[in-house]
Amino acid sequence: MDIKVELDKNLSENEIIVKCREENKVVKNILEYAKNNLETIVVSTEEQMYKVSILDILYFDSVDNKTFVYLEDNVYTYELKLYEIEETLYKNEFIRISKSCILNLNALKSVKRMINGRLIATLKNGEDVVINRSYVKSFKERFGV
Amino acid sequence: MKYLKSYVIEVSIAFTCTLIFMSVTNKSDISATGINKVFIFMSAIIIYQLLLQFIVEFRNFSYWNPKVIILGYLGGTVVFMVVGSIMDFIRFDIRNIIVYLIIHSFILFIEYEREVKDVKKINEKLKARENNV
Repeated sequence: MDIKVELDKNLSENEIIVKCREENKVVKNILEYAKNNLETIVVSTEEQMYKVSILDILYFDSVDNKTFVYLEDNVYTYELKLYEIEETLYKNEFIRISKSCILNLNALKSVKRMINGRLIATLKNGEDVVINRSYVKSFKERFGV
Repeated sequence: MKYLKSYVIEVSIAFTCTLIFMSVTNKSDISATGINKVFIFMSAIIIYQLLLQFIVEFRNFSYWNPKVIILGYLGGTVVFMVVGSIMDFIRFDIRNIIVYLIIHSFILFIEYEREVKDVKKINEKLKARENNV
């Protein structure tokens, strides 16, 4: 597969054109990735609302029925519940890792095993989140292990 | 199915040890009753092992979960020693208990290796993914 980037200063905004002989799995993944990269959600702090790209999100966490969105430098609240987020998000990039957390796999740097069967996921910002043992199986399956 | 390897290894080690115990304790009996006793003993080990697999797999435990370790050691010792001594070919003494503990430790070691390999594979894939991006 050939990948080309053509610069065109006459365009009013960036444009992605995918040329393919057939719309196979790879092409669909590229399209979904591009769509999600462009897709934003509206999150808020106590005073303001912001638009963030969903691929910038490290993870979603739920505490006391409130959903928090963790980015590299900020934490925002989000109106949807985790199960609602799980239904709408790009499934290849996000994975449930505990009852209260959905992780962006793009933000994952490495994993470590714990003695009790849990895994610790280290994120790109150096933060550690725990992958509960109930979700370890699906997590490993996502990586084909 | 992923625990099949451990399962087969533990049962075959148990079987080998049974034969060794039988010959050491001069209880080797190749009569029909003797073979039946070995069969019952092996069935007890298999049932116990299946129960352990069931708990590990369906409750998503690791073999390294403290509960599984305690259950593995205690349950295994009970099945191995009690059933063995009831069947009258294993002496319920400290030497035989230590042998069983070593057998189970071997299984834990295999599981440890497997879990370490899984995590290593995931980290390799993450690294490859990062390099591709």
